[in-house]
Amino acid sequence: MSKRSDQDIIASIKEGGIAREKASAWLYKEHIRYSMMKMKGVFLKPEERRDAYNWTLSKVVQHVATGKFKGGSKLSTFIFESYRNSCIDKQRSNTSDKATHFKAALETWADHLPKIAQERWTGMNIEQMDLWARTKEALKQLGDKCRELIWKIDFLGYSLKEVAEHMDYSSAGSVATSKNRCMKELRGMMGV
Amino acid sequence: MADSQDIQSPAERVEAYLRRWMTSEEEIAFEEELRSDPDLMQLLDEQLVEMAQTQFVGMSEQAAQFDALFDTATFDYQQLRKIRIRNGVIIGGVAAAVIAGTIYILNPPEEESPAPEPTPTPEQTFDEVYQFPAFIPRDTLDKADTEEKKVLFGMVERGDSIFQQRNFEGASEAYQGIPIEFLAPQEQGRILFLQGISQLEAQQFDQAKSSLRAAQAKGLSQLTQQVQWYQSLLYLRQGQNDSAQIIIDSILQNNQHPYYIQAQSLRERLQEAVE
Repeated sequence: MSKRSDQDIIASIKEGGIAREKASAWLYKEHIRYSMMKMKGVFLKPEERRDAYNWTLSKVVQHVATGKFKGGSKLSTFIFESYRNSCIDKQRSNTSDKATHFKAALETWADHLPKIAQERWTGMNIEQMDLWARTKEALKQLGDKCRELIWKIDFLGYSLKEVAEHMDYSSAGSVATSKNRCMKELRGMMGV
Repeated sequence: MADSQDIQSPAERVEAYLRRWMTSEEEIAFEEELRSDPDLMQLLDEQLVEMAQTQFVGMSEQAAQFDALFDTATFDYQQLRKIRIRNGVIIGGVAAAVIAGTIYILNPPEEESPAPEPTPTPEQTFDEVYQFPAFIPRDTLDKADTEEKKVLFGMVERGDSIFQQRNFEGASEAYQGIPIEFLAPQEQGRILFLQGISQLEAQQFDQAKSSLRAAQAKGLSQLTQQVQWYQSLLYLRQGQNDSAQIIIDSILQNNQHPYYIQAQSLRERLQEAVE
């Protein structure tokens, strides 16, 4: 595995699509040792550390992609600190579900919304909406193909044309149709 | 980025707003419209929730994709760690053998009846592979027919002599002081190569890398193959096994390569370390 510089990784993640996917996988493998480290004050089972590491790396990719990571420190330092915080959060919350990850994901996302959208989002009572529990259920029922489509388009930033090439769709139009169908399914599961 | 000119339906306009595809002027105008249109605001709220869900679905799927990578990545890391530890042990063994050998040469013990030949250990095999390069003598066809050349060749001979005494730090310094641009290209390549080897032995790895690269850049066919071999050893010494492996593989593609047998032995040794 050849060494890649922070600048190269950040540029690839910001580029989106296949470049982001490859850079994310590289970053994940490069820092896997963190998930095996014993840290002072952290008492998690190996599978909990594994889960915390997986979510940390997803969050790091999201932070870099949205520009929330400003490059004030080395990426490895940022990953290590984020991972340690995730472990501590997980230990404190003492929950086995992914509610804390869900909230963390949405915080980063909401930071980048335009002004009125941010105001509306803050005004919504997410806890009361039971959004987490409903999404978790919907996620279980959503098919693999739909999850992959949403991941590639909304998380990795693939264009419809790129998705068509990588997932064997006949055209970008058919990708758009499938994505709409998936969103309709998701809305149906959420009772919207 | 979507072209705002093509956006027609309210849902598409809300999406463009949320995804920040609008220019700042368009955003301000759209926000004015939102404030005065409750239906549009309702649509915004719905899409906000939907986007939040897709964000989470995407992130959750990414975590699942990473999870699928976990076992392979952990395995790769552990293997790499094993190789590094093994190489550390091997290099430590080689260093110990060199020190012991030097002490032996300087203080030869009393003659004794010869001990039975011991079975070679993996470290000794590696040591055989990692033998010091034969000294390449200067091309004597280049005559010292001017005063300048006499001085220059004097500097070269001094470097060569220090090198042959295995004073590598001294040799590295002596070679670096030679204005090689006044020498024939072949001689330039030879000096850069010996300078690189001296720096490698003196553990000046970064300088060794530059010197070997400069020697290779001279494009002298015989030297290129020698340089290739010592570059792989340099990577090994730095613990960059992947880079070393690439060079070893490229040596093994040419069965006429002067280091073909050594490269074979080294590859076997590295594979054993992985297993």
